[in-house]
Amino acid sequence: MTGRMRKIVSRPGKKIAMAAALAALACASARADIVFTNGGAEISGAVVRIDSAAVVLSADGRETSYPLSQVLKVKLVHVFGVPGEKTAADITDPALKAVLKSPATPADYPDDGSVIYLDDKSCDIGKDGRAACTRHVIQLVLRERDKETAANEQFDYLDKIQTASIDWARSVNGDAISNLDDTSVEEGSENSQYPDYDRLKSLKFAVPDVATGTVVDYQYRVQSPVSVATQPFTAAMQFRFFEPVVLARFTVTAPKGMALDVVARGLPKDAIIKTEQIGSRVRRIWEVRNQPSFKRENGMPPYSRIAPFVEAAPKKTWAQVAADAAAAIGPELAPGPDVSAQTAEIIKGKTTDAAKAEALYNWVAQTIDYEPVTMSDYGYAPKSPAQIFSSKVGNALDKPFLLFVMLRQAGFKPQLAYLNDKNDLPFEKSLPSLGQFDAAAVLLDIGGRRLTLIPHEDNRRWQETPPQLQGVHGLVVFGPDQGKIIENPLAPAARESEAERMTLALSADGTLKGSETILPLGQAQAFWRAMKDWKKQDVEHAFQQIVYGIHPGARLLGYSIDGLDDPTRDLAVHVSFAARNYALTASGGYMAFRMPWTAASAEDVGRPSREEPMFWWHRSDDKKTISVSLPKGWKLYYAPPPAKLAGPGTSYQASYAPRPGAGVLTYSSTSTRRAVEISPEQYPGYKAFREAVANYAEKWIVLKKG
Amino acid sequence: MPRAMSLLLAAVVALPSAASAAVLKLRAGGEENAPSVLVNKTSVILPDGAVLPREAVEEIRFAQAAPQRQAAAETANPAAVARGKELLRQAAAFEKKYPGADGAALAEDDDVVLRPDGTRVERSLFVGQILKEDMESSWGQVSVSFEDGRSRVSILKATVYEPDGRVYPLDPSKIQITQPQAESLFFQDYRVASYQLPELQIGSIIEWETETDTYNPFRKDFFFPSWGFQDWVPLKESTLRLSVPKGRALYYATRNFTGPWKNLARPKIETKDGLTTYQWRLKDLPPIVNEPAMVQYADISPYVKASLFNRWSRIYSWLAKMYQARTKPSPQLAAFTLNLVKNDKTTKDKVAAIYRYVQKDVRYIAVKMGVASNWGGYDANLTWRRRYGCCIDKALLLTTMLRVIDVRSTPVLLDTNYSAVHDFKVPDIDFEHAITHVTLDGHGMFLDSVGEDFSYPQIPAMDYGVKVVDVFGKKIIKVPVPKPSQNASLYTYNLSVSTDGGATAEFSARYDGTHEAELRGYYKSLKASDLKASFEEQVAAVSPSAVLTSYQAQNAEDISKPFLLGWSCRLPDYLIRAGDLYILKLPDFEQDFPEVSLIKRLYGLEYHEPVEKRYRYVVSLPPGLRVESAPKAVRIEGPGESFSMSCRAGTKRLICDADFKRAKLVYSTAEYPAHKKFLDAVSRLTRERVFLKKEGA
Repeated sequence: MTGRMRKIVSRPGKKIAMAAALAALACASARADIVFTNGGAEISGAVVRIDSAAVVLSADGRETSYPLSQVLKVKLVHVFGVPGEKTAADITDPALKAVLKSPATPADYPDDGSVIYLDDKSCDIGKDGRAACTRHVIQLVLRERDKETAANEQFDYLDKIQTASIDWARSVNGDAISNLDDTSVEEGSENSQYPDYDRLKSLKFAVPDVATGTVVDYQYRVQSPVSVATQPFTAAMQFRFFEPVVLARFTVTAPKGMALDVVARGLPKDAIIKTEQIGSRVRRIWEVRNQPSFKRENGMPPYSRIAPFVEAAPKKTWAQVAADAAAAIGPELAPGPDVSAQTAEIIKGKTTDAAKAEALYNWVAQTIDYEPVTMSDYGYAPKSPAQIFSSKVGNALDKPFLLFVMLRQAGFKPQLAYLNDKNDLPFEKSLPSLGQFDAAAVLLDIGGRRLTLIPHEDNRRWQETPPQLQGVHGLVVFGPDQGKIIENPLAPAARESEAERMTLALSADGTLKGSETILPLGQAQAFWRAMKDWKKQDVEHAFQQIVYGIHPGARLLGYSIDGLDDPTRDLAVHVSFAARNYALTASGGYMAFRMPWTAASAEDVGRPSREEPMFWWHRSDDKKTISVSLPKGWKLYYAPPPAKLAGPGTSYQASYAPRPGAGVLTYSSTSTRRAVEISPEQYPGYKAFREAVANYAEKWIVLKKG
Repeated sequence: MPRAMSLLLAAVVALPSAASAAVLKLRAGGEENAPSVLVNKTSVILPDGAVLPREAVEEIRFAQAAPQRQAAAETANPAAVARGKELLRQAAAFEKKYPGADGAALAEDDDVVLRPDGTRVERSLFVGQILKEDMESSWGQVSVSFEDGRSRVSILKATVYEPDGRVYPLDPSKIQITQPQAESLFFQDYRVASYQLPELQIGSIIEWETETDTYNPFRKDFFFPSWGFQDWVPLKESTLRLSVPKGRALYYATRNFTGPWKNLARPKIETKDGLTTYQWRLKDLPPIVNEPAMVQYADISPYVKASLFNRWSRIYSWLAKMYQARTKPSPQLAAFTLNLVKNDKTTKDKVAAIYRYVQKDVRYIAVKMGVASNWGGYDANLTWRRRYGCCIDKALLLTTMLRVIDVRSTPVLLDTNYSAVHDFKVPDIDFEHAITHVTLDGHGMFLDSVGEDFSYPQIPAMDYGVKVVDVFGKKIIKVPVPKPSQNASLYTYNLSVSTDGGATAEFSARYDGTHEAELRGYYKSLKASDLKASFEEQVAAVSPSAVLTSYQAQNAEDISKPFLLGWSCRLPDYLIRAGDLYILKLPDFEQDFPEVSLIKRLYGLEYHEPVEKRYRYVVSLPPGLRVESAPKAVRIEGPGESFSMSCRAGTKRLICDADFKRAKLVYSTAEYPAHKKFLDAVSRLTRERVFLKKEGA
């Protein structure tokens, strides 16, 4: 018998000791169980009894017996209602009663699809360190577009560390209450495709009878049966969403002696912050009222970077946090014979530190298959090197950890750091907790330089960093700097770049023909290098499609990628093409064209102002040089003047240089974006810059016959 | 191909064990086997006297006995090493034919045996070599799904053979059973056994074999195996074996057995040990290559499906029995329906009102708990009360409500045109969608109440042109494909150009058919403030410095009224100066057709709807500016498609009209060159510019 079952089973003569476990279950109302027959029928009713011979089901006022031999299974359906509340008149929750008494109308919120009257998250940490967080939501649907988001909810928890359950979930329409039952509740695994990293679960439910005008009311809970002192526990809540909130409240209750670190960021000035002492417990409350909805602006930062939030964690120092992590890492440091032998094999013949480190990085990046499961979705302690080595799969922690171990084995003194991810809540130095980190990195000092090695995917050069891990903070968890906060910087624009050089010839019939070489670095290089895994025909098709994007008359003549299978080299992409009818002809003896792949759009800066910043994951620096031989018998009638434009954190320069004697026109441009965020205040300047660039790109080169 | 039998001991992973008479799924998590179980109104009682509150138990499964198999680990042994060497040799020889492949499959086998008692067992085998790193992910897991109480699965073999001779056999202790979370709107009940293959690298050969034992089929005569023979990697040998008890008929249908496989559509038939086996074996199959807008897998690959009977009547009867039972309106639903249509004068108006209700007020949620809810849906009265349901639930509710107003209709089952063409030569129940066929005033029409943005009687394009199972009518019928004009977009632009190169523009649009619904769906999803921003971005696409001056997107939510779209804007610097020339671009006119980007295709090209786009541009010119050059009048045609364009230049105005039409949905490889040539020409023609010049310049 399982341990879980023992908790709720009573034996003859023993008292039933399960009141707490069933508190949330005791609210069933009218039963609608389901009998599934072997023949495929699903019959609803109330199961009256099951004995050794049959299932007896009551439906429509009569009882029917189904022999067990015909029954596949019986679902004892649970209804997630509130005890004693069958109609709206029975409701006792003051917050819900107030909403039902005076619900808003669409006219009250002309911009929004629903209004969240209450978003109340409450975390309670017990004396034993176990925590339980509930979330209670009351939401009114104002317009059709928010029906689904209000009625369907899904939340995550970690298997074996947390449990999840629903206290109640219902819709209220006028006087009628429709309760959720567990036919539309599903618990499932979020990472089942990665058996070695399958720990994150989710629970989702769909509340019935929801339409415009419906009030949806639910509460669910996530419990941690493990003490928060033994795991990287953080409790957090965000206070602003894409629909307006009347009241958002976050409560953290803990024993008086349990110290917490708390961070509040971006809360409005009128937020109410209270601390109450209730007996031997301390309750901290943050309340925010009447928060407007976020607008959906293009190029927004990830939601977690803009939403006001409060986050709390058991009080620790960074040194303690790092020491806790190191204690979990320490037992796993032994490489074992296979990893040792492999390390020796990889560095054999390599004479410099850089060559050895690069070879080890490339081996881990290429050989260990990356399973994109973050630390918070699986765990903060690495698997053993032998385990990672033999499975040949690793996640955001285990791949860097294996590299760390191999570098140590190779005689280096690397350090292991855990990094914040730009998709997460922003890093807070005043909140020491592993819960702030999602990926690991290896810090290595070679030749006086600090390298940050993150061998996740296999399409990046060894010193290139995934964009979501550029410009983030981290904690050294193992090594001489253990406990130190570090910053993994943004890659310089020059390392996130694409340099293009084209040599083309325009014929008198308007055909443009020639070749191009592209030298990509950083994210652009990762894009191209992904083709190493494609089959030949798919690569050929991709190049055909790229060239077709120049012009409908364009055909691919040839392509190659230098260094595609060699992770020690930067790539050089070569493509040649011919585009018939590329240039337009106009009566009067004119021929007009624009340089290929120079179009620029200002669509994403169409709005005159913004509320939130524009955001990019990395910097960029793109250069183009295009030389076009002009057809004989045609002379340059018009070429655009040079442009030198600048905006906040950005610049653009372009020029056309005719060489009349040679009949060649050369275009050069440099487009650099050093900023990764443009504030709303900077936005008008940035918009003007982008419009100017796009306007310049609209210009045509005109030739005239004769 | 010889198989290494020496290490074939099965690893059984499915629950429950044969001894269990019941399996209790506990609400707190976990499961418990019990030899028997008693349930009363409050408690669940186990034979040992243990009492559980009823609320603590979520489900009780009364499992059927299934043969117990011994679980044991494989061991690497000399035979396995020899097997690996042989596979590596075969792979090396085979891959030479397909340079640049990302993987190579040596064998894909499916062996399905129908036992005399109607239960069935399927064995699947795969052998392949990893040639590029991404295949380590694609082929890295062996996964097989099962349904508790009906089927059990075993991973019989999962071996990795390395190029250096190392062998990594199956470690059964690492097999995991999980329940994957379904997509957000789907609730279903199945589990997956999965195993991570270790030590994969380029050059590794993997070999696995799984078994699915369906020991409790819901109908013993519903046996519908199917198999596609091609893969996205080159495949040395693909084999399907279907075995039925001797004397039992098996009806089969084959597709795409062309070219080198033309003579292999007929199976080899052999009777032995009381079983008649039908075997298809194809060799040396090239990989399927991705192409834009390509037709679906089963429309390309050699494909077999089979059934124990050859008449659809058995399917009609099975479905009709469920559908009849679920389409009886309760007095409450009947009263509600009559009240809903009380102000509608005509039957057509009443049908439209009911259609809109089911479209808009019943949100899409698919709760699939078993056979009946999968194929039979839920009782319409329950769907009405819950105000949610999937396609079949909505179709049943629509039929039920139409029944209240005495309009005859039937739910119909289909595969949409986003899937392969359904093969009706032998019966099956593998359909992905359900809609409704309505008979109104003696005429048949189709309504699809899943598409909530379609104005009556429009339906989503995915339904066009497919054959459907008419359940109550007991026949196969076809959804018509509308004419291009019934799916038209009409765009009107009025541009007024000034001498400083600026312009003002007004745009309005009207739509019919599926495109209207797509736009409604998009625009209704926007907040009022985001709606304005959306238009600001649209006009910025016309000209970078454009300034929106007004906009409208009317009736996005109200599908009873036509959807209207329009905006006006100022366009500073609209004309592009080039010396004394001014270049004018017709807004939103450039057309791209990435689906014809490939020079040649291996497979057909598929669209999902016919289309017509009509443009009218009226350009008012200021005094002193004349048209130097305008696009020439042209009319071109392709297979089932046409494009025409004409511009008329006067002293004050330039008027350009264009019309693009396509009636066909599928272009064969033979038609592709002409289709590409046509679309290339259209794309080029829409890139033409108007050249203006100052008078006297």
